Amino acid sequence: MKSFLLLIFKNLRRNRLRSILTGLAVFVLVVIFSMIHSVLTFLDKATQEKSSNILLVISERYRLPSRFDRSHFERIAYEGGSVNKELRTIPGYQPDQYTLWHIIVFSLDPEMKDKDLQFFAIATLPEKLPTMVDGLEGLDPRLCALMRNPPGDAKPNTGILMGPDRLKKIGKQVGDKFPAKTFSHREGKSGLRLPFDVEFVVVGELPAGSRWAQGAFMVYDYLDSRLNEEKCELDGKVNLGWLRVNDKATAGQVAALIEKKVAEVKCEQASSAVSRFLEGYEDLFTIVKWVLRPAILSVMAIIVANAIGITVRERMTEMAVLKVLGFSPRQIQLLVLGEGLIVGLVAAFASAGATYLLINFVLGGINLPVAFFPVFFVPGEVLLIGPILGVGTALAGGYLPAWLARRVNVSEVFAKVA
Amino acid sequence: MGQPIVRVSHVHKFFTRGSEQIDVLNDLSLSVQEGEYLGLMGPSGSGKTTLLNLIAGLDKPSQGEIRVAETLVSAMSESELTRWRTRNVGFVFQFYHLLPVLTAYENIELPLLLLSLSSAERKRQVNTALELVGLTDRMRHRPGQLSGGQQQRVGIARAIVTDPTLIVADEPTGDLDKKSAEEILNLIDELHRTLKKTIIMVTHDQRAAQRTQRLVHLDKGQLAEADLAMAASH
Repeated sequence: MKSFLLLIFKNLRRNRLRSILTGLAVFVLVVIFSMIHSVLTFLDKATQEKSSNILLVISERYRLPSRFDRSHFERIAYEGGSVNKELRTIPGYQPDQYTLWHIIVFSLDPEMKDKDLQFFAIATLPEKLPTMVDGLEGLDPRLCALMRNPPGDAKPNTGILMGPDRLKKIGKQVGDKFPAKTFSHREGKSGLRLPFDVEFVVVGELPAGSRWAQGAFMVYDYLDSRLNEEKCELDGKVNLGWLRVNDKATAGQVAALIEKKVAEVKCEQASSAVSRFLEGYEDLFTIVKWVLRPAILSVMAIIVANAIGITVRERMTEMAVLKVLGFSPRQIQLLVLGEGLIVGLVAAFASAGATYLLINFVLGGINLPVAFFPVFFVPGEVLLIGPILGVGTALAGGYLPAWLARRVNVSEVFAKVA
Repeated sequence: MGQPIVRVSHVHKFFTRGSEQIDVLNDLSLSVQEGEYLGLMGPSGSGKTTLLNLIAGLDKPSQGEIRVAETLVSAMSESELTRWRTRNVGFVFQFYHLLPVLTAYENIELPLLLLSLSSAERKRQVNTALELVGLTDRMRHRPGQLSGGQQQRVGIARAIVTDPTLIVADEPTGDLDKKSAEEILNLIDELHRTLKKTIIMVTHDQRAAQRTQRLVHLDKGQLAEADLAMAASH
């Protein structure tokens, strides 16, 4: 076995340029495949219906972007609300699991031009972050408390949690106090619809390498008070509300009740909401899934087939000699396939590893704003999928040339040589 | 010399090119004694190499039988022939056909990889073969670093390393200059003398032919008349 492998490696080194170019092609194609896979996998997971501990999203029924009165949400989620009383009678409804979102964009640039100094924040209920936001399950509750009561002389509720990548972009770190202007929301007092000022204290970081690495969470009460002071038309509005239920049956019952009692909103599983939002991209995703991905795999296989095919044609006499010496057709086939497998495996493994490390830890994710997801990360499974693809396409591409090699007719080859 | 170790009985061999049938060997019968050093001569297209390939199990006759050490080679399947060749036949090529990526040592070791031998046993056999052909000091060289004569000696070492029943050589001096050819022929003589191997050699070279114990002429796929008489007496 050791000698066989040695023979394979030596044959690969024989034409280094060909081996390197083939490996490089596989490397690049696996990078592209991994990036596509990362985006599609993430979106698949986000649109996949869960079967337990389900998040329900409440949004405006008739308009996009969703924006509805907070009072509707209070009726639904807060204790004592008219709809809430009925919801509490449904087994599986989790009465303490609720939150609301108001999405807003700020800028640190006084002239509001520099995009790197902008950030979007979700104004929400900080105490609910660890239980109501996917990806923040391990968040330290003390950070939530600091948002309400930041240290030093900062005003209450001005604490903000921000992702490390966004902090780096705006040049801030934990402990920094800074002013910002609203980019998306304007005051209504002067009639000039000017942005208004807020101030924040960074009390903590959101998890690195997560979908929140570029985002931020602020306290809803602070935003609400500023909107009220500035008489902004968005005062008292929320974009989304969230509830949690135990199972799909409860989800159905809760959603039906809410939609019946509050005509202005609709309620659905979070995955369904994302699916609907992505409907506009459906054709694109279909082409990527069923045309581009198979095309990439096919090209990889063809490249390997080409390289191995040339190799076999060049070395027909050697194959014949090996047969004369007693190598069986199967052994000759394996020697040829082995070359393709090694190139495919090594290149794909290196590619998957490099993609994973570079995108997740150096570049901070794939920047592709789709739906609510500004950035995508490469999942760990790519480290396994990459090498499997490399091996699979090498086998597929190398099979025919290897089969031709095993069928070499010794007497014909030597007759031609003579 | 002992019993016939190779028996070729009424062998026909033809090839098909499109709709045309080309007869290469016609009802050929031949015996080779154990330990004999036989030469095969004849004009181009007479069937010498084809006969050699049939005896070595590289091809199968269209008709007739070939036995090597009582094994009916002509009836074996391809996989059986492959296994049989490893242990029973050592082949020396005109153009050496060494693997260029392997050293002399590794080229000689190649056939041994197919046998169930420990690496120590393989090493011993390879070193023995290298000593016999006088190339111990060149074992780490690749074919590109060896002269034609040295490459052929590696080829011979590779042919004998498994201690085969039969050694077949197809124009072993065909690609060599006079001096190297002489060295190779001396080596083959030496191997025949010391190892008592049965050797069948196809050659155009009169000097090589004179070294053999018996010379057989082929013409248009048949033995020449004088050889027929001699074959009958065997």
